[in-house]
Amino acid sequence: MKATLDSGVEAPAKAVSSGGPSRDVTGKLVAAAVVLLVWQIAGTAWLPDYLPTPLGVLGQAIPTLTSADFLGAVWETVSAVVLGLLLGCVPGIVAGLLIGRVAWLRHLSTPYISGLYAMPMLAIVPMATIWFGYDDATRLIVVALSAFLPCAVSTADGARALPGNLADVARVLNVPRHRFVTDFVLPSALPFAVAGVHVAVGRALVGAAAVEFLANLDGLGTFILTNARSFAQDQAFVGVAVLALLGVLARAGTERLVRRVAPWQHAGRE
Amino acid sequence: MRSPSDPAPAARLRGVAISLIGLLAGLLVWQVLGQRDPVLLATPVRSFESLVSMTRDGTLPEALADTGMLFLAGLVAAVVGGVGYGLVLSRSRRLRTGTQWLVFAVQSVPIVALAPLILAAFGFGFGAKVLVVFLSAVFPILINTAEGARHTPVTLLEVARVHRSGEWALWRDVLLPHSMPYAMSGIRQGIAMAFVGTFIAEFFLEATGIGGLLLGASSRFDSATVLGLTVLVSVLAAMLMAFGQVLERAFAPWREGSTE
Repeated sequence: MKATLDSGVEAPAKAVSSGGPSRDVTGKLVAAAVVLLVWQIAGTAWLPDYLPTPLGVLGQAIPTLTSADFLGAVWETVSAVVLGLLLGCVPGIVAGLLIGRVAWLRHLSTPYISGLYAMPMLAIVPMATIWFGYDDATRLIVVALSAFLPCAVSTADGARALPGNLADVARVLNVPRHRFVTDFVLPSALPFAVAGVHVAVGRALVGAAAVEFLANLDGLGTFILTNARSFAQDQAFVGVAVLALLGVLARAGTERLVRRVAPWQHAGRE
Repeated sequence: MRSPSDPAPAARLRGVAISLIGLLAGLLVWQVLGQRDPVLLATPVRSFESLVSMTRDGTLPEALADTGMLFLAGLVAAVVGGVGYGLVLSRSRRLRTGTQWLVFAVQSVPIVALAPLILAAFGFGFGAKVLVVFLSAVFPILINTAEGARHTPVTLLEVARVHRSGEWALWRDVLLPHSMPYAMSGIRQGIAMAFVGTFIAEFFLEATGIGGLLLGASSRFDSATVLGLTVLVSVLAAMLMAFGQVLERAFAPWREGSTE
């Protein structure tokens, strides 16, 4: 659950101590050059020639990025993901607050939440296509569900993490119920809620692409699939790169949001 | 996801009871709804029957074995590769600064989106499917292991060097034990990711195993089988997650004292 994946980010700063930043840059350049060179040579020499190569991708990048087809596909996917995130995260956070603070609700929902949370959302798609058909509704629902679960689980953790002595203070001071929620529970749960959104964004993008693959909906996923199938792998690769970039940007956005709403959350780490 | 202080046994018992009541109520609602609209929503009884009949004719055990093999092969490859390269990274600053940003770049590519390209490049054989699982699971393991190896006390490394320890002995006696708890956190995440990767492989490369059964049943609008399998998958996933947590907790005490 914790964002352990991000913990290596600070490594370059540490490496400056010996060798200096210039050697780091050369190291990176060398590594990049080796990867690109091996890829290019393997692509042209041994692998089938319809596979993407760095030069091919570079050549196709501008035409693909500016084509109406591609922009339409990106718009389809992004709008569905944004809408799905709204439909998933808002109820997820509310549900998380309730689950976190109300014990019987937590017990009641635990089997469902943890069963669904552990499950790959991909495995839900076959059922969803039966229920909602091979159309936009399925994508929206899968995206919303992929967003709902991490938000609910993380917010519930946050709502429960309210220190016991704070709860005692509130009780001693006779804090009214609504003030207890707004002044005690919400501030403690807020960073967890944003962390939930952080996870949700990545899952939502992947979920959208997966549904597009399986249900053949217009969007970035289908753009990648049709191009990969019609031997236009360079274009497909541009699509993959854009999808990855969207994920990185969205996660960087929520990361900043975490830092803004809860600066103490990161101050403790290293 | 666990409460910081375990509640009293009586309260815990009540919690479990409420959970069970919730599950039973859910099953009941499912059964009632399923009887009202049997085409879209098969009843739990029919889903269960469908699972039983698939077990009888051998399709389900066979699919489970297929899925399990793929999952295990990919996970083992990811653990070996992730832990191995993570430790190598801790030994070579040049490799670390040179390739770490690449690791982060590759890690941010969703494997689902990569699946059609992998299909085109490597076909849909077992190797290609294992590659999908491997790519899904390797990065959390690699990153956590590298992070753990960096937490090896500098003094220990220096002592090892003073005593002219060989590289192999250094890995076995210093690096590996110190990175173990971190690697286990990575492996816990890797287990979950490998399960996702298994379904990516079975959905988008070649319809085999549980994923193949799910797709087939879905295209036949056989909601009983799809529902039964979906519930089965969620139970399996929850069990894997619990196993990962047990694994992580078993090694957590090693973390004590390993901070510089």
